[in-house]
Parts: sequence; C-alpha cells; structure tokens
Amino acid sequence: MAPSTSSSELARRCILVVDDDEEMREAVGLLLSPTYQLRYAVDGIDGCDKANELPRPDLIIADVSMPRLDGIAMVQRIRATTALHRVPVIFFTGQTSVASIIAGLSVGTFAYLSKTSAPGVLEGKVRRALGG
Amino acid sequence: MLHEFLVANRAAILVRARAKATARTAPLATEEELESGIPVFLDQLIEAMTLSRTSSGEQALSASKHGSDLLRRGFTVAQVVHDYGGVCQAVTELADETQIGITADEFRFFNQYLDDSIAGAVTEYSRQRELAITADGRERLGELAHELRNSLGAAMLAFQSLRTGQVGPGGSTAALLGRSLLRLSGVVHSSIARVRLEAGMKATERVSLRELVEEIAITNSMMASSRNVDLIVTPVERGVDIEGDRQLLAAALANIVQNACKFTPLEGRVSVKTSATRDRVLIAVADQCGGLSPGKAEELSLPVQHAGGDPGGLGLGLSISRRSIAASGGHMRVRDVPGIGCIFTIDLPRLGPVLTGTSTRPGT
Repeated sequence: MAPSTSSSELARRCILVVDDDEEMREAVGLLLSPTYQLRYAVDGIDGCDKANELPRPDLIIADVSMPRLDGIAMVQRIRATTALHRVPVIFFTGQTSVASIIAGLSVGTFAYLSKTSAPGVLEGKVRRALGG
Repeated sequence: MLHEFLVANRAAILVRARAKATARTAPLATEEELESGIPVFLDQLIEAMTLSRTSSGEQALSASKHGSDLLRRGFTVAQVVHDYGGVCQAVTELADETQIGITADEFRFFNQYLDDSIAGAVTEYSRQRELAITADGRERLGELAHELRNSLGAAMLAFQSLRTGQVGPGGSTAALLGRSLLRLSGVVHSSIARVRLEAGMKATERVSLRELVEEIAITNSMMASSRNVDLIVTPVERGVDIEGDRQLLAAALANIVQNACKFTPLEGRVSVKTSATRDRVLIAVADQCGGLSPGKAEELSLPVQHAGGDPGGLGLGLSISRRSIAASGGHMRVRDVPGIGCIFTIDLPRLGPVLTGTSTRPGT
C-alpha cells in the first residue's frame, strides 16, 4: 500500500485544470483551491504549455472535448515529456460513450469521470491520485 | 438503331438539351449542369442502350449511384428531373426530324430507362438527404448534451462546495451556482425555441413591450449581479405593443442580454433601451465587451448562419435569436463601437393601438 500523504503535504501539491469551459474551470477551482494549488489552461495546446511550466503539476484534471487539441491528444503529448510521463491524469468530461472512455483510459489515465458524477467523487479521486 | 443514332448525334442532342435547360425559368440552369451534368445524363443513356440486355436491377443500381453523385455535386431534384426530361425531348425531336427508324421495343426501353433513372435518382437523392438530416440532428443533440453537462457539472460542483459550509451563500460559489443554473435554463429555452421554429409552431399574439422588457430585466438581474455587471433597463412607456410569439421573443431577447452580460467585464454596464415610432419598435442592448474584431459585426448580421454555429463564442442561441425575431416579422442588427462594445438592436413592427368601444362578439 502506498504511504498516505498528510494534509499539509497535499496542500503543496499543484493541480493543472484544463477545460475550455470557463464555468467548469471556476467550479473545479472553487472546490479544490482550499486544499491545493491550482493552475488553469483553456485547451489542449495551452495545457501542454502550462504542464511544462515550473513547478510541474502533480496532477492534471482535463476535459476531453476541447478546441485546438483534445484532452487525449494533449495527454499523449505530455506523456512524451520525460519529466511528465508519469503525472497522473483525471479526465473530467461530458464525453461518456464507451469509445471515449476506452480512448481516455488507453493513455494511462488515473480516472475517467463524468462531469455529472455524484458529489464528492472528484475530490476523492484527486486525493487518491495524490496519495492522500 | 437507337444506340447508333445516339452515338452519331451526341453533339446535336447535347446542344438541344442544353438549350432547353438554359431556356427554363425554374430551376435556373447552372454552369456545371450545362457543362458536365447533361453530358453525363446522355452518356448514361447511351451506355444503357449499349447494354440494353442488362438486368433492370443493374440499371436501377446505376441510376441510384447517379443520384448519389448528383447530390455530391450539389444538384437539386428539380434539376435532375428537368435535365432527364430535356435529354429525352431532344432525342425524340431529333429522331422525328431525321426520320430514323426506331423500333417500338427501342422506344419502350428508352422510356423505361428514363423513368427508372428519374425514380432511382430521386430515391437515392432523398435517402442521402434523410441521412444528412439525421446526422445534423445527432450533431445538434451532441452539442446540447455537451452544453447541459458543462452547466450541470459546474452547478453540482458549486453546490458541493456550498454544502461543506466553508463558503457563504453570498460569495463567488453561490454566484457560480446561479450562473450555471441560468445557463442551464438558457440552453433549455433555446432548445425549445429551436424545436418550435423548426416545427413552424408560432403562437402569435399581442405582446406588450413593457411586459416583455420587464420580464427580461427581472430574469436577468441575477445573472448580471452574479457577474458584477450593472444591468440598466430604461422603463418602457405603456401602450406600445408588438405582434409576435411571446415565448420566442422573450427567449431571443434574454439570449442577447445574457451574451451582453457574459462578455462585459466586471464592474461594466449593459443597457437595454427601447424606442418606438408609429410603425416600428426598437430594442437596443448595448454592452461593454470592448468591440468586435474586424468583420465580426457583418458576420453577425448575416441572416443565415451555419447550424449550431457559434460565432466567436457568442453562444449557441444567437442564430436561434435571429430566427425567433424573424418569425415575428422583425430583424436583428449589430453595431460595433470600437474600443467600447457592441449594440444589438431588435427591430420589430409595431402593432396599432387596441380599439376601444368596438362591439364584441356575443358570449365573449
């Protein structure tokens, strides 16, 4: 079993939130910002850029369907970067078809969640992804 | 004999068929139709006469493929039918003038092939149209689901944050919840308006401009305050009425006001002003979005936009707003105020005053 991380250690963790929907970014931010440091990107291209900025993110929460570069392609590009090839990714998306879920999980995703998941699911997955 | 006649007189038949297509008033012949469409029809006919012993199934298949090709080339059903008819007339006229001997069997085959071709092409054309409409419907449904999930997801997360009790009901989390719920409401209203427009369901009635604008002011004040935008609605005088579908007009105006609030920065201002002449009513929604990029005002003023088009993030509802206003005999225009914002003006015909003292029907 992986050692758990204390609350104070979790607070230093940085999460990159990638979503083209402004309200979703804000909602995720309001939910998680009391516990984590957050950084935001508005599409896949922006996500790649922000992921490579220092400090590098400890977790990426990304939408799948986004303009310019979708979430799955973004993760594939990010995984090609040595420093980021093991960063956990949670897809938080409206795309819930079986094909989308398989495509999402095939790029080494920690979790694939629907945007309409039950309350608490995203927080729980984030905590577990960060070893909390 | 007919086959040899068609091959020998191909050029003369084409000249006649093209002349017939050019002479018709509707549908007007297109350049491509004259240059490539009609020769294709004739060559198909010649090929069919060559293979006149082939099965009718193969002919029908060929005609179906032809219909599919025509759809890709952008021909209409009317063009297909008229062009087949034109080729048929050109052949029979020339055959009559040159008095060639065509047997009754050849003529029967010739007519049957034309009938089958028209039927096959039209059937294939209709099938392709149905597929295109179905695909369009699926795309729209996907857009709707995407919008609904985003706003519902944001609302659920905001509600979850509120439930922890660590944030107050008057803060940014509650404001986000309010915006998300309004966005959900907007998506639902836009969808209903679209369905009603496409089904031709209009409920025309006398609509008080004062009531319409007041309704918009009330329903959008929460949205404006949640974005820290000052929504100023100038009072409307009594007795100014328009004729239209109240629901469609309200949905259109609400969408324009919501877009204005969305693109106006914090502490900015959105104003709704109305004015009326004897014949017209104008509703002007001015925002402080900073102005439009070059050419955007003209683009937004176009009467028809691509289905589901979202010009520069102005929301799925803008094209529906335009169509809702048009359904009430009005139109919408956009004016760019560079560096400040833009003004959306709804221009509607004014309805005459209610006549008082007129007799009413018995029992009413």
